Amino acid sequence: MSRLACRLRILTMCLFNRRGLNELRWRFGLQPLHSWNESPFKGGLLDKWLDSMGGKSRLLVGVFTDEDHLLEATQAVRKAGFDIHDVYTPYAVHGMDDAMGLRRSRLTWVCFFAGLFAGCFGAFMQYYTNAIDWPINVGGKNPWELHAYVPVIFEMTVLIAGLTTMVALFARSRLFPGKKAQLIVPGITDDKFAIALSHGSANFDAERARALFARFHAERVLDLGGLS
Amino acid sequence: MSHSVESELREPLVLGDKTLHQITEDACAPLERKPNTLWWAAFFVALTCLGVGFSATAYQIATGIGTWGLNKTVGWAFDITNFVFWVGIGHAGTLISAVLFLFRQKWRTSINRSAEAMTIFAVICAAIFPLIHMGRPWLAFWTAPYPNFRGPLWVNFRSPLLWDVFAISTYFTISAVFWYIGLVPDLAAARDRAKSKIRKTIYSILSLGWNGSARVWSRYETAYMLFAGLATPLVVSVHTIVSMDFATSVIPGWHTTIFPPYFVIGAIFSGFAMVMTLLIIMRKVVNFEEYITLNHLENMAKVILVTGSIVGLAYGTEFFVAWYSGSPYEGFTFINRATGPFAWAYWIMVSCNVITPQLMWFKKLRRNVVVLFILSIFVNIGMWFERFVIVVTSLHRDYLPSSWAYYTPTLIEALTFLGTFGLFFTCFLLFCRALPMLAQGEIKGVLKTGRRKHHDAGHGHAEPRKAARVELEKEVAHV
Repeated sequence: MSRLACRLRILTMCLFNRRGLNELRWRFGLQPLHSWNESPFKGGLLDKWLDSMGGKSRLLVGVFTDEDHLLEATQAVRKAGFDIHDVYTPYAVHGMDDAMGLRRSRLTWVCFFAGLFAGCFGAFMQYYTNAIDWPINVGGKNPWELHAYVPVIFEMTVLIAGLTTMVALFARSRLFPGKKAQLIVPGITDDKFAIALSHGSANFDAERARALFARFHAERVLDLGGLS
Repeated sequence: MSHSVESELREPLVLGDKTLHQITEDACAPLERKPNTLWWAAFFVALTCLGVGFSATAYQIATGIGTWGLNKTVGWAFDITNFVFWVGIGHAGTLISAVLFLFRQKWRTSINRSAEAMTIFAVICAAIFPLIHMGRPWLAFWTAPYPNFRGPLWVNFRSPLLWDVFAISTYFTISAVFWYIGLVPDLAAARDRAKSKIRKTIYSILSLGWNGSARVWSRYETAYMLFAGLATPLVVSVHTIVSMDFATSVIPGWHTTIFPPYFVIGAIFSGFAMVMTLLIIMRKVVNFEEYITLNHLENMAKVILVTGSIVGLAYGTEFFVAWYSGSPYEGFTFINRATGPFAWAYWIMVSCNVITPQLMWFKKLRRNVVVLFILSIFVNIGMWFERFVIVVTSLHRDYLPSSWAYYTPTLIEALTFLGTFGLFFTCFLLFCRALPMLAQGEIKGVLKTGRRKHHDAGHGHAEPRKAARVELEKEVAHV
């Protein structure tokens, strides 16, 4: 491996995980860090980004077995000011968006603009092919006859809007074939529900979080420690 | 909150007081156990039909479509009949998954997955016929508007037959995407239960690393709603466009404005009948009677009753307009339908589609599985004959009496049709073995419907519950 490639690799690794960062520190003669909390990137942009990439930061996880308890617990921890990393459920729990304070998905806009583009494209395609590039005379009819072009415009709109929405959903949610599923607790796709709180903020009160979880009949509470 | 919107008077959608875990078990059970003799027998029969159909198709492609029973007068017959029949069947799936979703019909959750699968397989079966009808199916890609060295000679966008190409391919793609998106969470559930390595790998790839995150669920729900919103007008558009293949021509019996709504309703009618046929067998064979309950069957029977009555009304309207328009050709075509050489087909159609569904006014019959099964078969037959009557009787006696002719399908045509049934059932049986047939992710969400009364029995009525919540909130604030 060339020197440049090697450097690039280390740089990338340092951006992606702690081992890479430590390798870099070792190069510069610094002590390796033993926990993420000591790192200079702690709580910074990179940290947030790592979180959103599904990297494990320290999490306190309450495991529940009932939808209603989960909802109430989510509302309560949010009200109490905890930073909710995510909630995991086997099915779409109604009211969870409000309980977590999630903003409305912007996929509707993706779908709308994709549809708008596709409709225009469909109209243009038909206009160009049938009226400009090679006008075919069918029974002396007008080569550009909008009525006749409506069905294909509509079908193009639906097709492209649908496919774009699917791609946007998977891209935004970072779902792709070959991705290894990171289950917070086993059984999350079966009958378990979990709330994961980030240890991120300085005033994180683990005892209070545990008490809240217990109040709402959490089956168990786990401390998933350390960035791995 | 989920329960505040549920009426306490609702009937439970899932019987047998299931837990969440039991639903996973039940939904995944058909994938995890070995297939029984019945499955193998059905698969063998389906595969045989498919083989026969495949040979017939290969023969007619090699020889040419002169192997069909068409003549100078009847230029469209079995192929278009079968095409419209299968496309019609394909309508129920998206109707159940999209339209009923927009109408918040929660009972759809038990049946949508298999209905969507059925849609996809039915559309594949439908697509085979125009493909063969082209005569040179290996040039089918000429229907796509791509820059070519033949001019470029573009397709004619003013032709309804080309609209059909776009409608059917869009319908197939969007239905498949809708189906797959619905499957992802259930594939993840199957993945997390899988014991063997191969099974785990396949489900892992297909489930895209799904981990049940509520943030993803939120987007997923939005996307699902968007798909339902896109698919609903799509369903209506597809059979509308199919009907325009006929309605934009000048053939008496085809050239009517009633065709689009009449075809769409007919499609829903036949689609629901086919869903019912399949589900009645499936719920018995794979033991899903607690999920696909009598209530589900009754609801479907009601849809069949409504759509069947509208179809009956359409038959009547066609006759009325043929007379009222004063056009002698229209008038002749319809009198000829009911009394001419194809009167037998016409009366099979009327008795299967108009008379038998009227039995569904009786609750006792709507809840009788045997009656429903027989009814659904009748509707399937009737709707096939509807297409046959529309296509063949409008053509066989044209303006020139010297060219009047009768149409009889050849063996090749019949075997091709049989082959599509083989393809349909082979695909469906494989689907039953390979993918979760119950949309467990959705069924779990409606599990509490109608069960609230149970759960609250100990806590008393709404008022004390509210008080308890206020108290709880105080306590939480204190903690």
